[in-house]
This record gives sequence, structure tokens and C-alpha cells, in this order.
Amino acid sequence: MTAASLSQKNRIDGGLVDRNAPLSFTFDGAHYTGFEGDTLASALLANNVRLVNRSFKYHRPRGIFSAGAEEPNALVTIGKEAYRDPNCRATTTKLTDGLTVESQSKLGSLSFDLMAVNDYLSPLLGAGFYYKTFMWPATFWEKLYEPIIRRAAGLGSLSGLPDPDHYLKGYRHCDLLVIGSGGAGLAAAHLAAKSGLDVILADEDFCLGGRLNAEKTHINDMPAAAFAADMLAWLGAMDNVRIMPRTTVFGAFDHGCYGALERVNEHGGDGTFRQVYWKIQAKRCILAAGSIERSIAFSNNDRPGIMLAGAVRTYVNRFGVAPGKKIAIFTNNDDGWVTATDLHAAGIEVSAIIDTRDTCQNTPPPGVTCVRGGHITNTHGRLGLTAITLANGTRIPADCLAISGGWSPAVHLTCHQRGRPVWRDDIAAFVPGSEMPVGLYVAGAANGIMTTGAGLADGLAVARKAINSLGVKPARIKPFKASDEEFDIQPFWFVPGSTDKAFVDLQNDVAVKDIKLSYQEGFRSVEHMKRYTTLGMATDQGKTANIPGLAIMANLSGKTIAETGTTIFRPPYTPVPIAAFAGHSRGKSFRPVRLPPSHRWAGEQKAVFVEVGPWMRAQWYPQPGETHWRQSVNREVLAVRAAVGFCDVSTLGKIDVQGPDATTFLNRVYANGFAKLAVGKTRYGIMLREDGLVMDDGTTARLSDGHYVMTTTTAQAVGVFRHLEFCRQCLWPELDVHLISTTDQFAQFAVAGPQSRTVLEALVDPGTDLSNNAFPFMACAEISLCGGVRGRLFRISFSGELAYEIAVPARYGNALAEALMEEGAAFGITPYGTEALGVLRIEKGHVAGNELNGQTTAAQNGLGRMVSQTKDSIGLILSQRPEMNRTDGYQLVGIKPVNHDNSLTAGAHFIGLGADTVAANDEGWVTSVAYSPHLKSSIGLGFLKQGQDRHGDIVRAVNLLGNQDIEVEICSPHFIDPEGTRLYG
Amino acid sequence: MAKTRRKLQAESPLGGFETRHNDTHLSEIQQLSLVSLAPFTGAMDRFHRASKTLFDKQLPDPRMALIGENRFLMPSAHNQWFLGFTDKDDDAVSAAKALLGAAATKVVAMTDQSDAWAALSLSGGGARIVLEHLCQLDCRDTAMPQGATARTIMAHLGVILLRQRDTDEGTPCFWMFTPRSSAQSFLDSVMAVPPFTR
Repeated sequence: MTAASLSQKNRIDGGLVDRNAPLSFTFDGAHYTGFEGDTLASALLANNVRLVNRSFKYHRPRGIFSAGAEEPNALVTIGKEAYRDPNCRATTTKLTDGLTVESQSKLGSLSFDLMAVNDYLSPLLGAGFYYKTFMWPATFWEKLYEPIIRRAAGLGSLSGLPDPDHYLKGYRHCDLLVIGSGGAGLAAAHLAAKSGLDVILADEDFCLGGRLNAEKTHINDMPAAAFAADMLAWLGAMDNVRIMPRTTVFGAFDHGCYGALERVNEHGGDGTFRQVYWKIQAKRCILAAGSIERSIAFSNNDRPGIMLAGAVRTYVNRFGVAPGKKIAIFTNNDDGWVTATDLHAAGIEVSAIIDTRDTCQNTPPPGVTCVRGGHITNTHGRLGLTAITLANGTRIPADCLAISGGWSPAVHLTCHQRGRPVWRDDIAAFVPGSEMPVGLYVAGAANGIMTTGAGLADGLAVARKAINSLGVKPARIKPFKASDEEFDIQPFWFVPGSTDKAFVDLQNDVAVKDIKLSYQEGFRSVEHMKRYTTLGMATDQGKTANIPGLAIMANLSGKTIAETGTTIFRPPYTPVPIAAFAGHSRGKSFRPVRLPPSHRWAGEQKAVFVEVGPWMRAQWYPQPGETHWRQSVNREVLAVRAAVGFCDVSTLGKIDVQGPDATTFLNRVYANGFAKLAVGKTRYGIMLREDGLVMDDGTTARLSDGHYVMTTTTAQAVGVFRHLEFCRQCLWPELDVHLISTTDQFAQFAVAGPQSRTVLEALVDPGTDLSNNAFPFMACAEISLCGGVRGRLFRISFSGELAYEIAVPARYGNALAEALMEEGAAFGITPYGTEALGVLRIEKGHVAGNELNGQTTAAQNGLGRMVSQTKDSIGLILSQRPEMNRTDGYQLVGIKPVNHDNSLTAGAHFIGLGADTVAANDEGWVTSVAYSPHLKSSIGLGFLKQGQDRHGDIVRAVNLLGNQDIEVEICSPHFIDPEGTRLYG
Repeated sequence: MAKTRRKLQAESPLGGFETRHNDTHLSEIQQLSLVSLAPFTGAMDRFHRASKTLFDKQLPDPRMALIGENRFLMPSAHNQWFLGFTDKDDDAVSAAKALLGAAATKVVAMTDQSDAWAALSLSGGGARIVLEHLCQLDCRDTAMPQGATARTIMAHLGVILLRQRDTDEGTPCFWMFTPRSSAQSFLDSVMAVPPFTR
């Protein structure tokens, strides 16, 4: 025996742990050892640690109750600081070396929890007590009562630090997904694999085999655990089988999609992936998730040392751990007797078997006291069980009590699409109903087949059905040789006459008295009872509590369980961290970023970037000595007005429109006419939605007879393309026209300012005449520049200056920016960002997204005359509605503060001088504002009732959020060059 | 009139990125021309003939691409295909017209897409492991044989996936086309999954 074994007081022979691989861990600061193959729970029990937690509400001492995902008690916090992971089930946590574990739900120490005073107040703290108690004064609820209750009643807490672990997502496909690797699951996977299906076998445990690892039965003349290992080795060697250990299939979704969480390196903290969230697309699925044992309610049935009988067997047989020195058994079915047999075989004293059935004929192990038709009425021991008291008053010493109240098939996934389980009296449990997710089959104990031999046979039979349904002939294999245990049960849910501490739901401290109270107060539906008492909530979702709870309710109402019905289950089967759903998509990788073609160059110029939707655009380019962003922006604006500047506008949507009917198509989607646009010309257009409101604006250039290139706003690039495809495919399929986005294909720069022509003349190749006559305002052409690079040139302006937009293939984006800088150096060329772009367009009075916000009409934007009444187009009819054309409606205006020292604020509302600042006096709102270095004043655009007739009026711009109320003068929106002299120069 | 003849330097979307992890290889495909082809009404027969001449095969169903030496033709939308070919010239549309022949080019809408997409080649034993963390599609041999293609979403981005011919070692090879502007984000996502990251 190794030193590590010697230090583990309750470690016994046998089990599947590797005694040559000791592992160290701490629990509440104390050092312990366990073995490779242990769970945290088995290692704690091996070290005789029975008290592991305090209960949620009454802070009663609690120990390990189960050996699986159903665990209601043993929730612990693992890891430190940022790696802190609360509410981990000790029963499913794989023991790893160096694990740091802390208990939770306590104030003080586990053995001396100050909050245990709640236990003494329990008569006052029944179900719904806070609904009734904390009613007055109402304002105290959020500020006082609720924080105190939450602090007292919460489970573990997160660190509050960013999660340093890494998570992944993944997608897998298979012909057959088998959930659960117990006897039925292994049999099904074996047959499917032999039949040539692509199989995924998933199990939440790190050691596959399900209950075969916990039982002493034999299959094919070998121990069940060895049979499981043999079978898994065979499956693992098959090319068409993928085995996914530590993977919980937590949800069954539409169309054969299953959600699964793989715990790759759960508490490694070494930078590798912690978990993977898998979406498994399976043509068929076999749910072989087994069944979950349940307890019996009686006084003080929650002390550390009181466990499910099957769990006791698991700790003995799988982990080589004795959960106690003297173990009593309380059962209503034959399975409790199997525990007695296994304990006796392992040399552990069984102090008594108490079976609620007075007719049972089971034979106890030699020397074991047996009480048939008996009940336990109480238990003893402050921090752990020391004795039990029977109904006849006999007190029996025991440091562990193994309870079996029967087994409930794990039907959870069958309910995920509203399937409702049905009650079976013979096994006293719910089994899957007839409505299940499409393609889902259920086998073995999950299907109510509760014995080993029958479970294996069921696994094969169900697999045959699933394989046949795929049109594949199942392989012929020999049936497995296994016996069937006795399985008789007489339902027994709670001991009559129990005190207030007869718990049904250990995780939520819901006792029999709470269910009685709920019924007494009129909650007749199980759904209402669940919500009033909190039965079945929190991390275990009532896996051990739901059935006893509704059975007690049925008993109270005098109905059968079948008549009473059951709650059903939603995903997830066990908790899934939000981080797993996020996967890699968090922090800087939260969403993709789009970079304009000159991004590298802009970065080298130390541009300040701004997120514009998914785009990362240069906002301004600070120069040495500039200490405020507006200094940079003012410089950029003035440079454009005085000489020349350029801006990367590649983010604008670009759509290639080709085909014999391209002209007709454009003439229908644009509100203004495009039928007569000449080749080599560009036209500004507005698009309306079907409801007549403006959808987007932009320019479209005609490159050849049947070839146009449309630009859209950056924000609407995708929306407009989608709209055009809808029009093309659904509205006018007869039109011969093709569309494709070229947004990413071209690097496009606005080159603006009086010197823009001169700079571009230095770049274009011989043969392109840019003179005003040869290439006038709104001209376009395919050109060659810089020694043969094919590009496009458009004479359009968003700034009001002589301006062009030049486009080259995106591969040349950075190079063209460099070339512009080089050729424009003599003229003081200045790159400008989105801020200057905004100032320039506001000075010129061009509308943009702030004005074209999807809620305004063409007329309101001063574009009403563009909506042609002589042709049909999308939105024409509904744009003619009277309300949208009223002369006293909102109209675009320019504004400037009366006091030039004032700054305007977008979003401020127009209120008349002397009028009350109330909604009834609201006359419009400010949409866009900027500081104009040209006018040396704040300026803005906005919508004002009858605005076009009110130039020169003074109104107030009121921004209540900013506590601002200033006088502004209404003016033309064209602050700069209203005649267009610069534009046409 | 141009006073200078400054030569512009082309840059690929991912700067020629290449990495290898054991036998899994990820590299940017450069100097690949991509032209969209959309036959006008009544021109499908001529388009079929042109593609047959080019690839010596009939146009397959929309899940499959035609793959030839240094060129491929893959469906990209309803009645639209992408013709990909190795070409060092800037004028991809002219090159595509030369490949298709005069009869077809007059009746097919063509648009240069060479700069709109970044192309990555993913090959080797771990290629499917990478894809199963990014791609919702079934990339097993049975569902995606050589020549299969699909437009899909990976890492929140639109991607065209093309199963190319297997490598000389017999391992699968996938080409992934993703929009140029977000290509760096896509590459970051690819590099964040096994076997490139563990």
C-alpha cells in the first residue's frame, strides 16, 4: 500500500483508479491526496471529508449525495482569482493535480457557519416567505431586502475578473449520435459501427462505461467494467467512430442538431482550451443516458453521510472508496439490496437494511439486520451522520445511510421539443412519451429498461430501428450474454409524520412541508408548485427532487401521479458557461473588423481610427503639436478648401450592374430618372423604400451601354444590395440584369480641393484629359494610371469643392495613398478622415445617414423634386400620401448659433422663443452638427416645421440631457458656395 | 498629363501569409485572378459550350466546381460562376474573355473579383479539424468530395469553400475565399483553432 493510499482513510481495495498516480489537492486550505481516475467527490470521501457545503437557504451541513450530474449538495468553487469557477459539482469534477477547492454558501467556516441561524428560524422561512414578509415599505425591496436575501441565499460567486480561459466552438456531423456509454449505449454504438454508420459516442464522464463501471455484474463472462473497456477499445479503433468523453449533450434542437459541451481541460489554467461548445448534426440519435436515483423524504434526511444507494455502490466499486464504516440502507426497491450485497462483498459493515416493503423476499447478507415494512423517522449527528432512528424507536449507529427511492429514467432530452413523459406504474417512474425530437430514439434505462441484460438487448434493438430508418442493413452480431437483476419497487415517497426537515429538494431546501403549504395556498398545478416553492430550480434542475415532489403533491390532491402530470425539461441538461457559447468571439475577436485598402498606410501616418459599423476608418490624422482633435480636423478641412486633400472612401458600397436591361432596372429602383444617363456620366440618385421613405442615396456611373457601377452609403451597402437582389429575383425576374458587389474590389479615394485636378493629372497615364471641358462635373471614365494600373475616375464631390473619386484594385490601396501624398506634396496635399469628411459635407449641406435615417421623406430632405412623377419606381405611390407631402411638415434647414461661442448639439429640439419646453411645442430637431473652421462657428443641419420658409428666424435648440438651451438662427443648409462655383471649377 | 510614372506596388490581402503545423498547411493563394461570370438571358447554351471547351467537362450541379490545370469554375450565386485562374496580369476580365472565347464573352456579364476576395489554402491531415471548429457544413468525404463547393459562414464571415484536389500525400485540400476587407479577422479566427492553437 502506498503512502498516498495510507493517508486516505476510506480508501479500500478495488476500483478503476490508478494507485500509482497520486494527485494532490486542497479543500478549504487543507491538503489531501487522491488518485488518477478519482472525481473530486471520491477523493474527498476517500479522505473522510464528509462535510463539503452548506445548504442554500437554511445553511444546514451537507455532504456528497450522489455520484453524478444530479448532485444537489456538493457544489464547490475551484481555482483562484481569475480562474475561480463556482458551483462545480464535486461528483463530476475530474481530480487533477494541484486542484484548489473551496466550499461555498457559508459565513465563517464550514463547521461553524454563522448563517446557520437560518436553520433555527426555519419555521418562519417557509416557501414564499419573502413574498409575504417583505411587502412593506415597497421601496425597501430593491435597496434593502433583496440584496440581503441574495447575499444570504446565493450559491458560489464569480471572481469579477476577465475570464483568462480559452473556449472554442465546433461543428460535427454523423449518421448516429449515441448519448451515454453505459450498456445500452455501447451496444447501440457497437452495432451501428459494425453496420458502417458514422457514429459519435458522447458521455459526460471522463471514464466511459456508465453504470457498468459501478456494478459487479458480468457481461459476456467478464466483469461489466472490463466489458465496457473492451468495447470502448474496439470502438476507438474504428475509423467510423468518434468517442467524445467529458462531453455533455445538453440539448436536442431542431433538425437533428444537438448541443454538447466538451470539457477539454476544465480546470487546467494552463492556457489550453477549457471547453468546446459543439453543435452535432446527427441524422439519428440514440439517447442512452441511463436513469437517476431518487431519495425518500423523512426527518433530517440531509445530513452529511446520507447518500443515494447507487452512489454508495459507485464509490465502492468504481473508486475503491468506502463512504462510511457502518452503512445503513433505506430502500423501497430491490436495487437497495444490491448495494448491501456489494458493501458486504467489499468488507464494509452494513448496520441495517430498512425496506419499506413488508412483502419483500430479498435475502440480506449474512449477519445484517433487516427491517421489512420499516421506516426511518429521524437521523442524528451535528456535522455528519452518526445514527438513525426507526419508526419503532430503535436507534441504529451508522455513519452513512444509503437511500434508494427508485430510479427515474433520464428523459430530459426527449422533452426539449415539448415532448411530455408518461408514467409507468411498474417501475414507478416517467418514461419518454410518444412525441420526441425527430430522429431521436431512446434505449436502456432512459427508456425504462432497468436491468443490465435487458438494457443491452434494448440498445441493440433500438439501434437496429435507427439503422434501418437510414436505409442501411444492420450488421448481424451475437447478443450479449448478461443476466437481469431483480427489479421490484413499491412507491414510497415520504415518511408520514416527519418533522419540518424532511427534504425533497436538497439544493433549494424544499421540504415536504413547503409542498404542503403550496398546496394549501391553492397552487394546484405542478408548474405553479415548482415556482412557488423553487423545487427543481438552480444547477441540478431537480434531477433527484422533481418526481418525489410531484408525487407528494399527487398524494395531497388524492390523484394519481399520472393524473397530476409532470413538469418537462428545457435545455441545458446541465449548466453551460456563457463563455462556451461565445467561444473565440470575445474581446478583440468579438466580431470581425473590416479594414479599408489603405489601412496599413493610415496606421503608419498615426491616424486615429474609429469604428464605423464593422469598418475601422481613419477619423483624423494628428500632426506634431496638435493637442486636440479639433485642431487636426480644422487643419484637414481648411486644407481641402484651400488646396487639396484626400480621404479613403472605399467603405461606400459599390455594386456592378450589368445587362441589356440594366437601365430599365436602375430607372425602377431609383426615384429619379436614369433612362437618359449617357455613357461616361454619373448621376446622383435617391432610392425610396416601398413605403415612400428614403432608403439610401448615392451615385451611379454609366461605364458602357449595359454596364453601370452604383455606389451606396457605407451603412446601407448590404441593405441596398439585398434590396436590389430582391427586386431582380422577385419583382422583375423578366429583366436581364446581373448584380455583384465590388465594395471590396476597389480602393476608392475622394480627392478634393482646388488643386485636385493638378494632383490627379500627375497620376493618370497619357491619354486621359482631365480638363473641365473634357472631364466635366459628373463625368466618369475607366482610366489607366501610374504606368498601366487600370482604374476608374468619377468627377463627383461630397465636399462642394472641385473633387474626384478615383478607384483602383484594392491591392493598390496603400500604394495609391503613397502616390497621392508624393504627387500632392507640392500643393500641401492633406489626408483627411471621417471627421473632416463630415464637416465638409455639413458645410455644403449634403444629407447623410443622420438625415436619411429611414424615417424621412425626399421632400423633407429637400430632394422632393427628384422623385419623378413621370415614371414608376419603388416607393413612388406611397410617397404621394398627403401626410408625407404636407407643406407645414418638417423641412431640412441649416442652423447656426446666434452667439458664435455656443456649440450646437445633435439631437437638440427646436422650441420657439418664449415657449414652454414641452413636447407640444416641439418644432423639429438637430440632426448633424460640426464646427466650421471656414465660418469659425458651430453649424448644423436639422428638420424644422416649414423650415424652408423660415430662414432668418430665431428659435431655441434645447437639449435637456445636456442642460443646454441656446438661440439659433435658421438658414440655408448650404453654408459654403451655394452657387456651386467651386464644384464646377 | 502625367508628369511622373510612379509604379504602384500591389499588396496581397494577407501579405503572403503561410504557416504549417505538422502536416497541416495554411497559406494565402496569391496571383489568383477571379472573375464573376453571369450569362445573359438565352446565353446558357453558349456558356455551357465555352466551359466545356475550357474544362472538357459539362457544367456540374451547383454544389460542384470544375477544376482544371491552373483554373477552376465554381458556382457563386444563382446563374453566376467564379472563374479562377493563375494570372500575373492586372486585367483579369480580358484574360477571362480570352479563356472563354469571343462567342461567350459577348453574352456573359463579367466582373473582376480578384481583389474582392482573399484566398487561403488549407491542406493536410488537420485540415478537417480546423474546419470543424469554423464551418457548420459537413466536410467529410461523403458530403464534400473533391470539387465540391459551398457558400457558407465561418467566424461570422461569408466564405466560399472549395474542396480542391487532394494533395500528393493524399490529404484533403480546401480553398477558402473570404472578403478582402475582413480577411485579417478571418485569418485570426483560423489561427485560433487547433491544430494551429492548442
